[in-house]
Amino acid sequence: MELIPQLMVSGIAAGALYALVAIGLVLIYKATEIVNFAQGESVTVGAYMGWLFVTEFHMPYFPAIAAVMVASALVGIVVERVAYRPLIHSPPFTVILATLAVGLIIKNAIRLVWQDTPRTISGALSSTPIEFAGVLITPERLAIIVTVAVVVTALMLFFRFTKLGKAMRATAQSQEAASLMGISVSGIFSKTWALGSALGGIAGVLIAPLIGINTELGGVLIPGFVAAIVGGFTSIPGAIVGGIMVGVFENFAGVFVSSSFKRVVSFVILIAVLMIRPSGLFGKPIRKQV
Amino acid sequence: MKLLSSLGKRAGALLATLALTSLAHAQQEILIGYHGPMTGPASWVGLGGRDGALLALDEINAAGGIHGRKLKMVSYDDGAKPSEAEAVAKKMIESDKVFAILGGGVSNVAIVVGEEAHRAKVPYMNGSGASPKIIDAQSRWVFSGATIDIRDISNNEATFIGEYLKAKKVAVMSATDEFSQTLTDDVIKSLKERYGVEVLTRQKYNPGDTDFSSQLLAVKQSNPDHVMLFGLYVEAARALRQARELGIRTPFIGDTSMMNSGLLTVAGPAAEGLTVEYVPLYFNGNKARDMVEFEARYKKKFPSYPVDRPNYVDVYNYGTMYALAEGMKRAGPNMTQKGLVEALETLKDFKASDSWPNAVHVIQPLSFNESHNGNRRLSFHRVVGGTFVPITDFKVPAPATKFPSNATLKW
Repeated sequence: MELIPQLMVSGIAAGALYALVAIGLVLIYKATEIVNFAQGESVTVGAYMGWLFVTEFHMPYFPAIAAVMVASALVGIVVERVAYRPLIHSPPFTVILATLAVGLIIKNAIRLVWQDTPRTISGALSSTPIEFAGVLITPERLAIIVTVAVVVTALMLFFRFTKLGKAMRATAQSQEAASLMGISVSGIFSKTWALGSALGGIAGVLIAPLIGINTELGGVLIPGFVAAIVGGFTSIPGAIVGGIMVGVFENFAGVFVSSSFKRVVSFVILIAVLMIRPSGLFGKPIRKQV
Repeated sequence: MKLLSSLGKRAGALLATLALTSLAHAQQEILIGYHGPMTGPASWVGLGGRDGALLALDEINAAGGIHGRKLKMVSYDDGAKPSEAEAVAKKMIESDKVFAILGGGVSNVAIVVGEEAHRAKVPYMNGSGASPKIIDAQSRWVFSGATIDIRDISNNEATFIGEYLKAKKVAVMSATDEFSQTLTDDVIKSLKERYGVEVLTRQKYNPGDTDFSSQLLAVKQSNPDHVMLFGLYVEAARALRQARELGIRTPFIGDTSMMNSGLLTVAGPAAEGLTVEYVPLYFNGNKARDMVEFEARYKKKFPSYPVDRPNYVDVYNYGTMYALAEGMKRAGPNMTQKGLVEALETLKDFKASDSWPNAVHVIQPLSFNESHNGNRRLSFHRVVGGTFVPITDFKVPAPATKFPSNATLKW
C-alpha cells in the first residue's frame, strides 16, 4: 500500500462529503445571507428518505436518489414557508436562531418516529475496493466524488445559463434591485432553500450505505461549515476546495501527528486561513457602507 | 339558593373524595426514578434501558405488584453528561421523592447520581455503568445490577486475546469516552505484562465520527496480527466497514457493546470474524426458550422498534428492575428504604424467573450477598455467517479481583 497517495484519496473521498454540505450552506448564504445551521439535518432527512424509498417502498437505489432530491427540495420549500418566510424582515440573527431550532425539531421528530437505532440501505455500487497504482477505493466512495463533480458542474451551468440561475445571482447581489427588475425575491428564496435542502438530501442518501443512518448524521455540519468558511462562504469552488482540504488535512494529521489531532486540525486550518486571508480562500471582502 | 348550596356541598364532597382517592392511590404506588441518555449519540443506551425496565415493570404490575402496591417509573434524560447528572438526581430525590433509582446510563453520570443517592439515603441501582468508581462507591445505598465491572471485562478480554487468540502484535483503535479508554489501558497493560504482546499503534476516534481512514491506515501500516476496536457499536460498525474498504483483512476484537444486530446491519459482511465479549444471556438470535420469549414480549410492547432491538442495555434493565422488585418483595409490606437495601443484600444467584412466574431469565444471575457488585460473569462470541455465535471452546476464568464486601460499606 502506498500510504501518502492512499491518505490523499481517502481524504478526498471524505472531503467530497464535507464539500456537498458546504455547497448547500454557501448557496443559501449567498442568496439570503443566512447561515443555515439546519443543513446537517438536511443530510439526515435525505438519509432517512433514502431508507424509506429503498426499504419501505422497494425502489432501486438510483431512482431513490432522484426521489430523495425531489422530496428533500419539497421539505426545503415547506420549512422555508413555515419557519423562515415569516421572519423575512427580521434581523439575520433571528433567522439563524430559527435554523438552529429547525435543526433540533427535525432531529427530534425523526427520533420520535424511528428512535435512534441505526438503519442502513444497500447502495447499488460495490463496497469491494478496486486497486489503482497501490491505492484502494471502493466504487461507492468514488461515486460520491463523481457526484460532487457533477453537482458542481450542473450548478455552475445553472447559474450561468438559466434564467432562474441568473435571477438567483441577481437576488444575491441586491434583493432590492432584483425586486425592481421584476424578480420575486420571496420566490427565489423558496427555490434557494429547496436547492440547498436537495443538496443535503443527496449527501445523506449517498453516505447512508457507507456509514448507516441515525439521527446524529447532521454532525457532518461541523466539517462542512469549516469547509465553507475556508472557501470564503460565498464561493462554490471555494466550498469544494475547503471540503477537500479539510478531508485531506484530517487524514494526514491523523497519521503523522496523532489521531487525537484529527478533528482539531480542521479548526487549525480555519484559524490559519482566517488569519492570512479573512475573507476565505475564494471569498471577496464584503464592504458595507455604514 | 338551596339548590346552589346543595350543589356546592355535593361538589365539595366529590372533590374531597377524589383528593382522598388520589392520595391513597399515590401512597400505594412505589415510585422509581430512572435516568439515562435519551438524546445524543448514546441515546440508544438510555432509551433501551428505559424500555427494558418498563417491560419488567408492566409484568410486575400485571402480576399484582409488590405486596399489592403498583410500581411507577419517572424517566429523565441525562444526555450522558455528568454536568446534567446532579440536577437530574436532585429532581428525582427532592422533587419527585422517588423510593429508589434505577440508572440506565453511562458510568460518568452513574457516579454522580450514585453520590447524590448516597447523600440522600435513597437506594440506587446502577444498571449499565461499568466503571470501577461506581462499583467501588463504598456506599451501602449503591448497587450495580446486570452490568459488569470494567476490571472483570478487561481481565477476561486480555486472557481471551493472549491465550485463546494467541495474539503477538496488536493495533488498537478506541473511542475517546472514559469507558473505552479505561478498558484500552487495562487490556494493554495486562497483555504486555501477562503475555508479552506488542502494541504497535494506538489510535483514537470520537463518538459520532463518520470517517476512520487515517486511524485505519495507521493500523494497516503497523501490520498487526489482530486489531482491538473498543467503543460503541455505531462507530465500530462504520470503522469495520471502512477497514474492508481499505483492504484490511486482519481480525478485529470488539467489546461488550458491539454484540448488537445494529452493528451487523451497518457493517454487513465486514463484521465477519469479529470477536466480542458479552455480558447478559440474551442476544439477537439466541434460540433458548426464555430468549425467544423475551424478544416476542419486547416486540409486542414496542412494535415500532427496529429489528435490532432489544439489545443488551434493554436486557440489563429488564433484569435489574426485577432484582430491585425482588428486594422490595423481600423487604416486606412495610418496606423502608434501608429495609430495601438490606433485603437486596440477601439476593444470591437470583434469577427473575425463579420467584416471578411471569418473568424470563435473560441476564446473568445476580448476587448481592457478598458485595454490591451483582454480576461477574460474561461470555465470548464471534460473527459467523452474519450472526453472533458463542465461542464454546474458551473457558472464561473465575474473576480474580476482590470487591469491597458489604460489611465495609458506609451507610
